[in-house]
Amino acid sequence: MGLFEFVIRRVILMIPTLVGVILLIFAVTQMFTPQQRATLYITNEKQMKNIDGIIRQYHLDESILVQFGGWFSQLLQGNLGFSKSGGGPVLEVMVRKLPATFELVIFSIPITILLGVYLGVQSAVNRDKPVDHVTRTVSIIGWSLPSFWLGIMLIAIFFSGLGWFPPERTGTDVFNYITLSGKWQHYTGLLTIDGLLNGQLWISLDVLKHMILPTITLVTIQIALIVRVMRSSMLESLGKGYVTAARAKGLSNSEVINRHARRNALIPTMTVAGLLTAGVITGVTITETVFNIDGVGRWAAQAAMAVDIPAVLGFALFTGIVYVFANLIVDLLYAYVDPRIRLG
Amino acid sequence: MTEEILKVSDLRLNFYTYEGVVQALDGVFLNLRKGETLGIVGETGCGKSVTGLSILNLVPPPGRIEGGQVVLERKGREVELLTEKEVFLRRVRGRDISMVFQDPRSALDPVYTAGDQIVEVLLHHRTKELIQETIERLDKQDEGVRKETEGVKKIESEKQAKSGKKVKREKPGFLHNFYKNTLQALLKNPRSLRLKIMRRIPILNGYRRLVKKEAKNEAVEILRIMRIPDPERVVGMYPHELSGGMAQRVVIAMALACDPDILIADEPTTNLDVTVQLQILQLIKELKERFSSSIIYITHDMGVVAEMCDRVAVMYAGSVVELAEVGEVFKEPLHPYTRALLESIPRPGLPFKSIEGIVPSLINPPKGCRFNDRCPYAMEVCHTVKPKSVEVKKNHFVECFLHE
Amino acid sequence: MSIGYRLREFKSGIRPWLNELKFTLKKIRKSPLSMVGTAIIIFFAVIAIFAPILAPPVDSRDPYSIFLDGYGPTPRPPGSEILDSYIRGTGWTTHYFGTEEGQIDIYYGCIWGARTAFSIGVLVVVISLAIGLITGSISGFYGGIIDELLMRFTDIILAFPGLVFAMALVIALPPQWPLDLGVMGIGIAIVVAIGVVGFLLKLPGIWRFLLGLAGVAAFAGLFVWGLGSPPVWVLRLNLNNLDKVLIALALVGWPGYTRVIRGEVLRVRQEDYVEAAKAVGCSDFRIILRHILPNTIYPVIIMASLDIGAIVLTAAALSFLGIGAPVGYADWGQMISFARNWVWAGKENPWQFWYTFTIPGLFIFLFVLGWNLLGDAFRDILDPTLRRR
Repeated sequence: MGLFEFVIRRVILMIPTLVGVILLIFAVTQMFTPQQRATLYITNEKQMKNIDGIIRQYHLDESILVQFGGWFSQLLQGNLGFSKSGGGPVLEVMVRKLPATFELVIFSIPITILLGVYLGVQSAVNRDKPVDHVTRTVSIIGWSLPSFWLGIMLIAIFFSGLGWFPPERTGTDVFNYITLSGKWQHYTGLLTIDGLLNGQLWISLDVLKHMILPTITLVTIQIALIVRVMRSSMLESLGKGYVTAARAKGLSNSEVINRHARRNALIPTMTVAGLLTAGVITGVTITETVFNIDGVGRWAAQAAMAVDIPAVLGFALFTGIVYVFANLIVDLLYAYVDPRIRLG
Repeated sequence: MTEEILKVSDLRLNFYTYEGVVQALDGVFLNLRKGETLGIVGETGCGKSVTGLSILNLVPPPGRIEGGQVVLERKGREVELLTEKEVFLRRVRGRDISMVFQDPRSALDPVYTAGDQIVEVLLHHRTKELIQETIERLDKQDEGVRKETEGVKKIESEKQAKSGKKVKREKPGFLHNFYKNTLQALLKNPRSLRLKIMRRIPILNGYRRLVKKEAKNEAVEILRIMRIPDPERVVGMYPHELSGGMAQRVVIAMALACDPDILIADEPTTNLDVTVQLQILQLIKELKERFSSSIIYITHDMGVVAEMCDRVAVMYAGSVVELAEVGEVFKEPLHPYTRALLESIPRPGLPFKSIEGIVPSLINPPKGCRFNDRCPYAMEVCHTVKPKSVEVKKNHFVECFLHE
Repeated sequence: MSIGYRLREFKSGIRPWLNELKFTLKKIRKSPLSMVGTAIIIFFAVIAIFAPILAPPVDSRDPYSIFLDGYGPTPRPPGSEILDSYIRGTGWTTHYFGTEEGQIDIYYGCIWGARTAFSIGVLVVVISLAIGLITGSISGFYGGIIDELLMRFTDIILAFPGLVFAMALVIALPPQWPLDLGVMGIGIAIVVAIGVVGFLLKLPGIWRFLLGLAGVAAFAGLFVWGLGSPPVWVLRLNLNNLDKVLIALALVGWPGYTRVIRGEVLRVRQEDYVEAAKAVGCSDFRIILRHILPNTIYPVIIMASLDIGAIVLTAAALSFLGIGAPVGYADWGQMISFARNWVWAGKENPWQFWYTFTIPGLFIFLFVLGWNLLGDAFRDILDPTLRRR
């Protein structure tokens, strides 16, 4: 089967999982009382006063099937309820806060992957030598650290102590410029890019400076995952016949490692991408809280504390969908890279 | 007397494992003459594969060569391979000495096409030739374009009208001359800084693509020589799409691509079906003629030895116990092991004969001759001293006290 | 078949396994990392077991509630005197590790926190492992539509990271959950029925009997449910947030094990020795127990030990965010949340309150590190391709 058919197949397989995710969220909604569930259907604060009306309108005290119809149709219209901790309809709040999270993720994930792969390869190639031991030790320490603790320590050392890298997303002057000066144009919501597009390089640089500590936090915690898998699949790959054959062709050590061993070792490493996504979602929630970044993660954590049901459920739904799509992308990448899968 | 092209003397190899030191090669003596096929035959574990790998110094850790010499005749000079640095050995591997492996499908990298892997070895060793050929081809294109513009256009448009689709004319691209000049500069000074930088820039490095294409054409030709049907298609196939026989042909193609003087074939047909085996053996014979290489053929199958080899080295537990012409060995085996091996070949009608005992552990090898506990002629000296290689008859070497 | 015969068979079957075990233990002893990991775990286990002695509870009815020495906001350094007379009356004299904001004794919290950590980590893993073992082996062994359905289901659950699901369940589950045993009975009956239907297609006799049994159980469950649950059947569970976290993590954790076990079962199923066992006439149950399970258990052990660390980290994070342990509960994560404002105490003496976050943080880190070291060491030791180097 060709690549196209494979893609179609894979996308179709995604549908039941998505359906399942939606159903699971709905099942969780059934654990609440009808009064609590009403918050999932309203879009503004005033409607809170008419809870009984809402209950009647969406048949919240009737059978499950009827409720599902109502809930699902609202979902399709983008109505996920009203978030009291966000001060607006859930979808709107999420969209508003997403860029901050996305910006953080856009930096952390590639660094984690690139650095992780590199360290994994070095570790495997120099097995049992100092490089290997140091890499494995550092990555296992990173994996064992509580991310919130690491974040706090980093703030203590590098901000409070040395004054190098501040927490939060931007400094006050940047904040004032963006919100008050009236000269700022929102293009993507990603401040680093928007800074360039607005011609205000100093803003982009400032945001980058603020992002260093949270990125270090996220990368340190997640990198062990990639290093561990890459190392073991690299070790396996190095023992394979084609490596000896490549050497017998006269290729240099680096050519053999980079062109043959590493490329094959990357394939099983991709399967960890799902775990990486889950780890990043969790990490982002904690990191944003510790560094006080106004993204979806922090909003979700605050919502959970404040028992803001639509927000938490909205976040959970969002998480599930992101995960399913991330897996889709990884599976497609996997098929693209491994000709055995692509060509059947 | 034909000259020696490779000589292995007193090769010793140990594997340092968790369970102990495996003394895999205990003084191996071999020589390979120009144009001949030398067989290395023995049971599993006797060290024949490892000997092949040691010649190219490809034995992976925990293996380590502990002594001996491997002398190669290269470009009129003698080179001691075991003392040479990696950088030099890389020029020998794949070019002067090539290797073909036992399992073709594991010897091929699953994520690259067959063509890619042949092209890889071509580009590595024959860069200059390929660049020259590319330049020649580009020159020819220029010629062709010039001729065309001299009134061939009319015929072209007629062709188009007839076939209904555009006839692909090889027009020189915008960067054509640029690439040609770059390639010529590359020939003159391969290490210039300017070229190193240009390599990385996407469009400017298009000249590499041209050379690759040239190499790919060459690869197709090589596959054709390997008697692979439809080589243009096979070149783009991945290893898992190839049958065992095809894959092995591709591996052989990779090995012979740079016209090596010596080919080391490590049980190339063991993993294949019997019918395919025969084809590959015939192919190797043909190729030897055509490429005039010398072959070291490693196998456990005496039948193959009889078919393919001029001379044969019989190995047991890490040393060559007998080395002579094939006819001699079959007619008059001198070493007790060789004798037992020949007798154990099953023949219809005759009772089944096997060799008593088992191969000794190489971690704690027996003192003296390693065959001493299974040898029907073992004497007291056999248990204390290891026999040296003695030329008992002309060109017939044996390591046995019976003949010292 | 006599008992003597069965006994001899058992002993001969187990000998090679015991030899491998001895070899494994020898390798464990040789690897420094695994020794460190084991030492750390034992250290924490000792602390957890002897918590009532190392840190005698002030309020014996609620030992997990850390005692408060006053209400002042400023943390006090290690070695400070305990001021509250009631607490002094129970035998305590000093704050060995100092106090957090709100005068929460750090030493007490850390010691009893070890118990919390162990109970959450071990309980969640045991429950997840149990569910995973059952579903994974059924899925792997019988394949077909059961396998497909289960895999889809695990896909769905795996889409939610533990933290997120825990957040949802913490607000969803009521503080007092009436656990309806009648409904639970139906649930168990359904699971058994699925497994039995699978068995049924292969073997007659004893399995048909079990199907009948399951059917009876299902019917009984339905009957009770239909009656409306009489009080005696309902168990009212008091759930504090930490319990909800536990439930959430267990519910979200089992698919991981299912996948691994299923994968292993699939791999082992096509091994020659299973074919051989079948050819000799072993029953399915015997094959699973004696051939498949021992060979598939190793990756599970690795996963479980790594998982304990991960679970404790997640639970600590939840407590830090305020949605885990209730306030004042002996939980390491929560103690760090109280230290947030005291990380930097001004230019003069910025590290003044280091003990508020360093000490609990160290406890979490070392605990998780111990399990991770152990898991990694297991992986290196039990991986068959690396064993005989």
